[in-house]
Amino acid sequence: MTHRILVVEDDARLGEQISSHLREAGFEPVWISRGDLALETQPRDFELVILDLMLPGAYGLDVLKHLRQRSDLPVVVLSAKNDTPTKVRALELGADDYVTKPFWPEELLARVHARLRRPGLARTGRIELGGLAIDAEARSVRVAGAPVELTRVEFELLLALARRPNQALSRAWLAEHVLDPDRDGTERTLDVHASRLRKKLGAHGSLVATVWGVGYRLDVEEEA
Amino acid sequence: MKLRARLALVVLATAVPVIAGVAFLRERLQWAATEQSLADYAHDRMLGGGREACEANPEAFPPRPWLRPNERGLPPRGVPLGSMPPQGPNGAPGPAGPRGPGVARGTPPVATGEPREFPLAAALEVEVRTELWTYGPDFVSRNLEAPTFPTEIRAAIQAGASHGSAEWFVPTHDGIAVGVKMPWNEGPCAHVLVRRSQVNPPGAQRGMLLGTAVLLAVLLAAVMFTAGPVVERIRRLTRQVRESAAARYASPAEVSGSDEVTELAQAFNAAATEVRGNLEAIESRERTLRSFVENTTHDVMVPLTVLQGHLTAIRRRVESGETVERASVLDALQEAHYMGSLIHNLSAVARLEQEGATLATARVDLAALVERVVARHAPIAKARGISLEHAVPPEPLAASGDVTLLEQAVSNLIHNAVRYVEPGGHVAVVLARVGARFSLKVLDDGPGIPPELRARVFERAFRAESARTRHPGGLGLGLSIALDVARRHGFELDLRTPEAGGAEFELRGDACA
Repeated sequence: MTHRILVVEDDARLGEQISSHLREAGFEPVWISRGDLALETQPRDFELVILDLMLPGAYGLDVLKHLRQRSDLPVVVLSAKNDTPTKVRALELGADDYVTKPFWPEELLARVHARLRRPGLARTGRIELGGLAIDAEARSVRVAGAPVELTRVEFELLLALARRPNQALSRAWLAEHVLDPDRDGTERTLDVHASRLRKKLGAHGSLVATVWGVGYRLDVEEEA
Repeated sequence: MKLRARLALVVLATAVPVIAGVAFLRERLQWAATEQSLADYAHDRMLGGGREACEANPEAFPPRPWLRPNERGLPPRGVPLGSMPPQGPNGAPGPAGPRGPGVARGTPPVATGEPREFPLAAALEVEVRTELWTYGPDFVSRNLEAPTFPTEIRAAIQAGASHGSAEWFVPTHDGIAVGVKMPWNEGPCAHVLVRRSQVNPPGAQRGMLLGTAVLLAVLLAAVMFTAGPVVERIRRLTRQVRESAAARYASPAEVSGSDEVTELAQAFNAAATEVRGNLEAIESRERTLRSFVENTTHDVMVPLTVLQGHLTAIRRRVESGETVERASVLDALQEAHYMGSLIHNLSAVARLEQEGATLATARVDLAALVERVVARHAPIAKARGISLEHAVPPEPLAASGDVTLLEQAVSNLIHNAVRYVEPGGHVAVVLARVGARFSLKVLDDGPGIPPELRARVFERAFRAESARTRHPGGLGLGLSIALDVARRHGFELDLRTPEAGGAEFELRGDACA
């Protein structure tokens, strides 16, 4: 599935560059260089907007306001003006995120991915990731189709990581939210449980990655 | 218009109508008093034997002496009947010859009591004369010498008035004519006309004009005299204000006395202080801005030159068909990244060093902030082969602060770590809620901070010498900005050096509810 992304940027070179990076990353960019033209676009034609604030024709914040009146499309603001009031105003007006110039193409893509991923946060009872099938209600886990028996703590650990795939959770947070508060709740105990979980997941155990200085993360292939 | 001219004009504009009004009123009152006195005179005369004399011989009434000018003015009011000149049946004058009314009192004609009545007229020796004529009910006199009864008085009496008056035009001066209705209303003497010349002797009018002029002059002089020192003080104040303005409001105006001019001087001094304050603030801002522009220009030129050098080397290698070294591309990337950070930092310094700088405080989503900053440094970390990882709690965690400055502070901590960790090393950013506070840790397994620099990391003076130079130890502008920002927010920033090596910075502060 390709995501159509509206790029509103008045600088020709930057607009061209952003479009080309988005295309390379598999998106379908539509680039317009005037604010007043942005006012005429149909928000439902796009899945995300990258909006520069300094535009000819109409001020970026006005475009944002206009857009927000019609849709809740994710908006990533590009800001050259590194002043707080503008950023705060943009966030107040409903911008989802902003990227300050100068930025790396990867940086912008990371923000775009993060924005597109956000609504899809797994909150449902069943999660399927990288060969793992987790049923939060039945409290059961299948690895490559085969059921695996997990303890309560191991299951909670896996579920917490699976709810935020590819995002690390700190050991402190996990120790607080996963371990049994009545028992020994140190981070070392957590490491023991993580190690046992890996073993039980067998070949898929490597999905549970240790993140240096942070904690644990469930690494799965990013679905483009 | 000058103050004095305006004052003079105001004095004239108010005094002249008042004086004119008073003069007019005085004239009216005097006229009314004269009219009444002449009416009384007519009654006295006619009741005191005049009626009988008139009815006895109306053709020759009044007798001659009555028409004589009495050089010394009017007969006094209430002349006793006995003072009437003796009248013969023919109306001829009495044997005493020309006589004033005062004769009856046994005084010479010249010595009547007249001066008491009209002192000014008397003093000026003006001729004043009084006449009395009688008329029948039809306002026609039997005496052929009598003047025509004035029609306006006639109309007034016919309308029911007991007497009326009119002007009597006499050459050289004004006069008054008073017509009186006698109580008997029959016979040839039913109406009486008394005429008197010289109601307002010209001398009196001249005197009054003179008096008025003197009064006005005195008034004007008084006003000018009073205004003089005030005008002088205002001029001095004006001079001082001009001088002060020319000297950028450095010298205050002299404050003396305790009147409105003093208040004006005080108000000016207060305004001057305010203006001077504003001027200094503007100049301070301008200096900050100018030094920012100068520093930025200077500081950006160095990495930009290095970047151009790297790009040129890359281009040369590409053109000559050689393989481009990974390291030179990486250096170019790092240089560009450094430049971006530097400009943000210089802009942060400009804000922090500005006099009376205030934070643009708002609710800051800390998880979003961490993700943004990590995303900014991730490309460079990746290019250098460094693992840059982060964790934020799934629950919202916010603090109150200036998002630009906080972001720059965190960015400096991360950038610092990413720059000096060896390839293959790790940098971790962990955001957590600890009770009602937040904790943001940036840790790395790099070379750590040399003990001799540790104590100086957060010294403010440390920045001054190293801000503009790239420190091999990596502790330059960025860390001191981070500390400055933390302090201004009331947050704490600590440096720890774990036993295992590397460095750990922790930013702590109150979290929003």
